[in-house]
Amino acid sequence: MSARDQHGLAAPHGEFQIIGKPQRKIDGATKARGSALYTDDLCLPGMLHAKTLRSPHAHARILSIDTSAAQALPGVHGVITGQDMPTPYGVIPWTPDETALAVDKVRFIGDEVAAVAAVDEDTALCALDLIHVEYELLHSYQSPQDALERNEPAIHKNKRGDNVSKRVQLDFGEVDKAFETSPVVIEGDYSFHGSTHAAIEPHCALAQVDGNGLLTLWSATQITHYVHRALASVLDLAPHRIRVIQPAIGGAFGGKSDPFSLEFCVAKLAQITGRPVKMLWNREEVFYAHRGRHPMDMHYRTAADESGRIQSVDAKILIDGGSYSSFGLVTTYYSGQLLTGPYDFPTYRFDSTRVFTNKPPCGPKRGHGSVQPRFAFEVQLDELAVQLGMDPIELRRRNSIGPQTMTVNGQRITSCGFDECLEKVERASDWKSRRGKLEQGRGLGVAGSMYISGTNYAVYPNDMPQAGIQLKVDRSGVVTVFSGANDIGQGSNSMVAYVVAEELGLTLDMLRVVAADTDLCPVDLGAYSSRVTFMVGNAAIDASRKLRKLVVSSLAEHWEIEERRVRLVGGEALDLEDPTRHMTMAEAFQIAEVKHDTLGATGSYNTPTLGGDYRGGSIGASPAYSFSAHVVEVAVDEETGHLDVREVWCAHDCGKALNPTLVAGQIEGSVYMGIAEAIYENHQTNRFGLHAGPSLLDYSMATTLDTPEIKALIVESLDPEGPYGAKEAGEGPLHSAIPALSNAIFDAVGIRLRHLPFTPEVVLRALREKREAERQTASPGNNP
Amino acid sequence: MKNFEMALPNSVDEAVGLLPKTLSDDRARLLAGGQDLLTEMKEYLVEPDLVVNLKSIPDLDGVVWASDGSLEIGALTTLASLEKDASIAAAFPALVQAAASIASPQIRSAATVGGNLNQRPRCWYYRSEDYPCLKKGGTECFSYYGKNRYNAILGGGPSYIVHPSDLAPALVALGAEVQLISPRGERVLTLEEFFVLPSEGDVLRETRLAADEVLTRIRVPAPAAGQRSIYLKFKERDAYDFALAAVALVLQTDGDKLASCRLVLGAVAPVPWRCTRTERKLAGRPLGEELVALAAQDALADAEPLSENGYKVPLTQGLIAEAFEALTI
Ligand SMILES: Cc1cc2nc3c(=O)[nH]c(=O)nc-3n(C[C@H](O)[C@H](O)[C@H](O)COP(=O)(O)OP(=O)(O)OC[C@H]3O[C@@H](n4cnc5c(N)ncnc54)[C@H](O)[C@@H]3O)c2cc1C
Repeated sequence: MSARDQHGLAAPHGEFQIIGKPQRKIDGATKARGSALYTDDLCLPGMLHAKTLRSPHAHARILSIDTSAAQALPGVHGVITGQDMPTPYGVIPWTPDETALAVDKVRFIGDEVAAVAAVDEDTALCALDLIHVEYELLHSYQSPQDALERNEPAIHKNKRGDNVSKRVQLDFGEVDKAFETSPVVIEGDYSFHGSTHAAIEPHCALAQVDGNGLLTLWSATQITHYVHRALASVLDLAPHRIRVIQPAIGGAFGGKSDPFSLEFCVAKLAQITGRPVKMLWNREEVFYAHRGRHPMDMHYRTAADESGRIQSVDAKILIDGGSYSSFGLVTTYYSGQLLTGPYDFPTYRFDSTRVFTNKPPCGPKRGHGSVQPRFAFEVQLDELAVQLGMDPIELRRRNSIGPQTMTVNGQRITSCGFDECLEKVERASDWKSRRGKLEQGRGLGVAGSMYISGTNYAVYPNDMPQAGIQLKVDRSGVVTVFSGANDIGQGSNSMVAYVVAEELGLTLDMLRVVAADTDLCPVDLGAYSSRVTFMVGNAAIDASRKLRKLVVSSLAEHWEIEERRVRLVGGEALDLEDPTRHMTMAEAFQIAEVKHDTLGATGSYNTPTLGGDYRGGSIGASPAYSFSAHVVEVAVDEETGHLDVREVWCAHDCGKALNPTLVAGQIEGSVYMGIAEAIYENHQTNRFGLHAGPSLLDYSMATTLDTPEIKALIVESLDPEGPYGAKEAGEGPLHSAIPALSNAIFDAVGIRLRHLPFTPEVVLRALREKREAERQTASPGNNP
Repeated sequence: MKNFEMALPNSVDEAVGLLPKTLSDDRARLLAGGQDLLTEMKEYLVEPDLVVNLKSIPDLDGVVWASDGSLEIGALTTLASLEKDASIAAAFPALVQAAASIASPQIRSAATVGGNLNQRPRCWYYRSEDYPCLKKGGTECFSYYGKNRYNAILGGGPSYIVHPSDLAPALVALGAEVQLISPRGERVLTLEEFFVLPSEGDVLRETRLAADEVLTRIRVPAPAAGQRSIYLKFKERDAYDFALAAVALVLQTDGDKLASCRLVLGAVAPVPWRCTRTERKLAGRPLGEELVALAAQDALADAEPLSENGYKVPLTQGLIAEAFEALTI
């Protein structure tokens, strides 16, 4: 980390003009009017349409594939199978276990086997029916327990010969001793079911090979750079002959952060046919592509002293990874590494095992790897509070880690507004006067959490910057920002526009943002781990300040004044001390161009060296952490088991809110998503591995009608290293919504729900068990 | 979806003439609002060569009040128009509540009453092209030992689907009759008779409708003096969803006694489940908590839950209690 990576908290001149004020998204109007172009909107002359043949078996060896009849069908231009692209890849370079199409084995129902390009989709679909695949069925693993107990046939080959995808065991301090000596120990089993992203736009990719052999891929991806690398490797094509572009995207939530089969298939088919090829997956296929939240079985023990101070936490976690690695190595680390705040505990141990099963592959979903453990732990803290007879907010406050501290696993915490988060939700929900005094069936619950704001673990090892920005100036006053970042609807293009406009004194309509195009933009690693605002924001400040220097020094020379008198604001340049001297930014740029030649600047960001000095210590080590607290109010219908989430207060410490409107939007979206997956969503397969309902009718998601009142409360603990002090808001505010709901249900009707999802049947069963338990203790026979 | 031809008949007689003579011949299908048929065709569950569009037939749409206070509903009447009809809401609240509970506003503006009563099951084994289930001519009802949280707790076997229609329980409770027309002429069945259990009829079908028959009208008898009615539907979410359980209740009181009632359960059995025995037990009893408890207990006394749907018993009991409380307290 160098000076270029830290820019201080202050506005470039005195007061902020744009930053911190509600702003529109720069692409809001085009999206609202329907004129934004998504991948499927793109059509090229002569374009073919491709479709994928998928495995009907959960686990099988491919004995033969006969594509001759499909090839012969009129209108078919190309048919490919795994043999055409056998090079394995994986988003994490240490675990390359995917191929564009299955080479010798299929590993879940829906696994990609062959692809056809034809004049239209109907013809491609007919051709799929003509492909004959001979399979030899293998034992299919439908539970992680089965995959642990049995090794043959292994889902993937590894040195150990088992079905374990990754195991991480880390110990910090003397855990056993802490448990022996602590007066209070809470222990229990918790589980989190699977859920998926269900972004409104399905995956889509379009490829074209031009006359010079340059391959261009347009794809709905959130990681352009990794797709670029994977394409080069799988197609065995020099990277400089490939260009990857991400058009407007209709949501991703982590579901578009792996390279996907269709990206390789359209590229290969375009090479073979010489014509542009597009593939659009339908909703059913998106459910198979999945990469959603990992189901986890979690055993937690927490030791505390009588005052409620946590002494130790011990976790054992079994993670159902589905059929491929995806980000699984990181998931396994995150499941333990991200739990060590916002509470301070002196000793900690976790043992997380991710196993393969023959189900759609799991991956990163908003709050990657840490939403599940957070659920278990925050429910356990509530149990601890009950046992101690303590207010659960007070318990959390007592353990709060605070700013400028180090977690038990060696993570450096700089800014921390967790106490303020607790205070805000306590006050806003009127906790003190309402909790415990609500009518029967109504309750309030609280939970807290912490999340990363970027990671210093670059997916492949290298010392180059993690984020880059390039600025180009036009004599009209327009500044074009070339940003590598993937705007997936979170507003990263808008964010860089706000930063550059603030620094150069421009109005937002003077900025153009060109993003996520590997030919035009500097490299950014992608939209994941809540890294974009922090890293790309810093790179944007870096580039802007270099450019500003050129402009300011030219104007100072031109006006023959000191540089400090030159002010750029609202599209104008002026002399602070002589109001008669001012000009438009267009003129200012022209003056600077005379002096410095063609104007431009680049900016970068890299993380400092972070993390504990042990294997995996850098995974989950972030330059800054965000903090959240939730209070949920729920009404439980004891006759039907229906949960009515009345209101959710979420206070989120995002550091400086660069645009409070977008931050509130992220908080609301996170709360919506968390509550929805707790109550309605369930990504399930049956015992043969068939998806239980790959449609938006069967996979029920919450709509506006089901969404509770959400109060987004922004907390700004300015981070010393974030851009103007900013951290993240996209993922953190999801976490504690779910345990806060479980805790609220306990407060309402006295049932402790440790296993998700909270369907009416689960609620009714728990209520019945509670009544039975009460009857037993009340009956005179038991009470002599 | 497979290519098909569409016929636009001008009369019911012309429409039924285009239909096959036997149930095993599925080359032609009737189309009303298409909200169910098209989803079936898109999933390749049915692949007709000919789609007979009832919408081209005049006079099958709309409601008519007879002088005796009974209501006649044309089969093509949309759910949206039922839902908005103030006079129906006044006479038959349960019917309007049922209509309003269905799907989404967009679907209700296309969906018809006839299509709703004739819609096919939602069991996911039936809806998945990949399962050769009993309802599609296979040999097994997979839900019996498979995933069955949405399946039947009453009247199941050999198939354990639940009938998905929300209008059906409400209309059965209101004593509705249906008019059916075929080349052989016209017949009238009570709606209760119209639906058949899988153990009593052809397991491939849910109704007594013949292959070449069209449901043309529904007649709801005039409400008795002091008649009250309610339809309660329990869904997992507030947005469009099929019922986990539903209760239609029509009753009259006599002072502080229950004079008579009709209690019909939805989404718990392969047909709208009329609780005739319970109705008889309740008639003449004093209103109050005891009656409510008896109703809830007796109506579900015969329930035989499968491995995952036992929750439907207390859930339905809860709804029955809510329904009685709403109408009598
Ligand atoms: C997202 C979604 C949610 C839904 N939710 C619900 C719900 O909550 N509750 C509910 O009850 N339903 C629900 N439905 C099911 C159903 O589609 C509608 O309720 C609708 O009423 C069907 O009517 P239609 O006119 O569109 O029928 P169509 O699709 O046109 O026809 C349905 C079936 O009935 C037959 N048919 C139609 N008219 C006649 C007739 N006059 N005589 C004989 N046979 C006929 C057709 O051949 C076809 O087999 C839902 C559907 C969808 C897609």
